[in-house]
Amino acid sequence: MKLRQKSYLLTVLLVAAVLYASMFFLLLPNIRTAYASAQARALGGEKALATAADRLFINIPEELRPAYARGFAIIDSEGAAFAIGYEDETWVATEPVPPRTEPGTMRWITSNGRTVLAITDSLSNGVWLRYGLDVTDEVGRTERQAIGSVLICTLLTGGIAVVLYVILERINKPVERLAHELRTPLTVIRGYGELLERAKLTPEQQHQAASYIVSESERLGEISQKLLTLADARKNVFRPERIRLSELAEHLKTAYPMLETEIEWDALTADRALLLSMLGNLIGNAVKASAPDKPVRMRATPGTIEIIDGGSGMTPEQLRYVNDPSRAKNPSIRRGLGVPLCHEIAALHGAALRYSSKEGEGTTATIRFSDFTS
Amino acid sequence: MARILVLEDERAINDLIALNLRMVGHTAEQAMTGRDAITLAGREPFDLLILDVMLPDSDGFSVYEKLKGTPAIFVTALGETADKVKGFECGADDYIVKPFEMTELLLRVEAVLRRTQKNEPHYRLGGLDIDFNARTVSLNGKPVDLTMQEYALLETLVRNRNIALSRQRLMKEAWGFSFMGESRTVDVHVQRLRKKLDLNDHIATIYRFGYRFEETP
Repeated sequence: MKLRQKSYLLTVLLVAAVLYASMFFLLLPNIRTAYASAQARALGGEKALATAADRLFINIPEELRPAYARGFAIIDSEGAAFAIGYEDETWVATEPVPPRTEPGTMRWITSNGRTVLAITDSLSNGVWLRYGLDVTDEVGRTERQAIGSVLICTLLTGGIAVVLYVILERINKPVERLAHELRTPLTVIRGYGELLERAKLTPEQQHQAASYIVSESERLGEISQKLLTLADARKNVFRPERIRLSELAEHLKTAYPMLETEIEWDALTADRALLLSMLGNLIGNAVKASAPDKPVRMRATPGTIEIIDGGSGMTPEQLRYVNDPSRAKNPSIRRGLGVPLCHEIAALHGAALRYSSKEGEGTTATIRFSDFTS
Repeated sequence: MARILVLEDERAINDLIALNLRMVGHTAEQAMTGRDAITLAGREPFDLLILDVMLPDSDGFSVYEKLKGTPAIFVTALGETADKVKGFECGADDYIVKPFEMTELLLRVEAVLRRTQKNEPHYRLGGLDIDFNARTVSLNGKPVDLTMQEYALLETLVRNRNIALSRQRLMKEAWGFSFMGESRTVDVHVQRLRKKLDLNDHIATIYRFGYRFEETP
């Protein structure tokens, strides 16, 4: 995984952590209230029971006190526990109550998945009273609510993160490509400039350095030209007009004498400057890919324009890139602005640019116009 | 000097790096593709690899993996932290980001060669003999006393020979820091070096810039 992706993940995790923490703090009063009301209920119940038990047992001599009475259980009058049940709030304690240290202790007991609020108290007659209130449902409901809210929050964060990621990727891709595109000419110009300034070069070396500076400056100019076209295409500066492909082809042949054309589809509606830029780019690439003696062919049939090179074809990976430059994984083939530009121009014309290639047999770039008038 | 492989698919940059390396006395072999690089390395091992990260047929990292054991400096146009980290994780000795200054690259080359002890222990020119390991200098067989700064200045000039270095750069290399306005200090030390070592013909003053060590005056 790339570090950028790692840091991105970290950011998402951090945001999630902050969100969950704040969620937790927001929900804390809720949970607290639930617990407090459970405690209040338990205390009330215990008090009522204690009063009842007091009244029940106070006049009965110690030896006559019942071992079991209506669900009440006296385990040991002297020592440990007095478990009591009360209508629907029944709780049967099996564990012994610790010896009493202070009056009226309250504690939470969790067993078998139930949460019970247990109150231990002694009655005025000296017997122990232990009262339990099952609060599982009450507390559980609040907790379920909290978990539910956090879950919804998680999903929301995830969704927002994905949307942000997609947006950032869309913004970054062309910028990254541009930065890379600029760095090579800048390195070359700077490096040879430094050499000319500082090193003792032979006349041949001086000439080579100077010509590299000139050619790379030209490349910068080309990049800026392509960027302008791309910016225009982005801004939808799109002026469609009736165009004769045969006339365009003659124009292209002046720049690429090795171009052979076969025009069966002549009249179409397109933005002249953009179409020329796209065809120029495609033909330029085809010329670069072709062997010097092989021609590059442009064939137009109704609805499609094909540029066929005499090269040695592309690897599947290269083919994937030229068909969808935004998805290229391997940075070494992610080069140039030409191909992405052609895709943008094609899309503006409601057309699709598709490359097909076989290794050793050359490459064909096909522009297919979806709606056209011949 | 060292035998160095330059693997970079941009002809202009490849030539530029090789030219600079040769300028200071290294042997530079040039490769445009990973395959070429491996073939060249198979013929005779290199002391150092300078590898471009992005190549048409593979990437610099995989070439480095295949030539494991040879020190390498990665050249990357990405400037992306991920690639730097990857470079170091796979054991690269250094990296440099395009666009870079050539003297910067030469410094790094020198540092890696010194670290891996692939650098030449001596430099000789006429009666001058510099022992880089012992940091001593002798002229016509007689040892010459140099101060620390004088020695550092001489070594920097010789290591970057045929390339002019600015006063600031010399200051930074020889004194470990640079401060503007005090570059007269460099002039004074250069004067002393010329006198002590009879280098009047070899340390050239580059007007309004700095100095250059020249083997052939």
